[in-house]
Amino acid sequence: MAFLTIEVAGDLGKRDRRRAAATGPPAIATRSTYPSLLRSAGLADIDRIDVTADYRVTAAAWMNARNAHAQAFADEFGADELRERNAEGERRLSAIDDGLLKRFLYVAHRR
Amino acid sequence: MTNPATTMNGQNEPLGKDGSGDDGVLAQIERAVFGVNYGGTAYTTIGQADLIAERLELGANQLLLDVGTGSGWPGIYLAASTGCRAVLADMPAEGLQRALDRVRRDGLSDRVAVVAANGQNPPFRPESFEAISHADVLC
Repeated sequence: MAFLTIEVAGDLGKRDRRRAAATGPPAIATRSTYPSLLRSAGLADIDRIDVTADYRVTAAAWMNARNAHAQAFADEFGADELRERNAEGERRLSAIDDGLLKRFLYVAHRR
Repeated sequence: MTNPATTMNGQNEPLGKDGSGDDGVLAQIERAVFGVNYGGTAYTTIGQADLIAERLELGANQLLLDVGTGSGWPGIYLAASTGCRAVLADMPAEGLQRALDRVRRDGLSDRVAVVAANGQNPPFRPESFEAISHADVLC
């Protein structure tokens, strides 16, 4: 099994954790780690590859590309949507830069 | 104007009307970000998809289950680039239709299936697949 996911960094205070969750993975409802979940599902040889640097590049690329097509985007989705998306993108980049959000590739195999 | 409520996908970028590789604004934006257009809305790059293929040792003898496939990125790419067979599973019909259209357009219908399936209760027999992948589903 292999999967990519965005995580809230460990050992954050309550405020930073809320900020990270708001800009990263809003649906995460468990405090268990992925390695422990994978092990409990019978998977082993777990690799955790940090792809946060790529995540930062891609998050910035979305913003840059959207702004390069700002008029066409606003025509289709509305100027408010463009502003909201950009504000959300800025918050996400800031959270990544502050070390609150990480992205990992997990690879695991059946025992 | 498109209603954002019908096109937003959690934290991801808005879903386009289709993933057909047309010159719509979302296709142009996606191409600028990833260099390809599969209707992808999140953060999985070609390099990461290639790394998944390498680590799962995908090839012609493998059957891959791509859970939460959305519009088929990167599941369709993995099948096309490695020669593996694949089942692309998700629930939203709009994304599945785009994935199916892309599979047909790319001539992959003989080895890539698109199914409506819930990842929590997948309708497959145990050990049906040699490999499982998902990207930005657990977010």
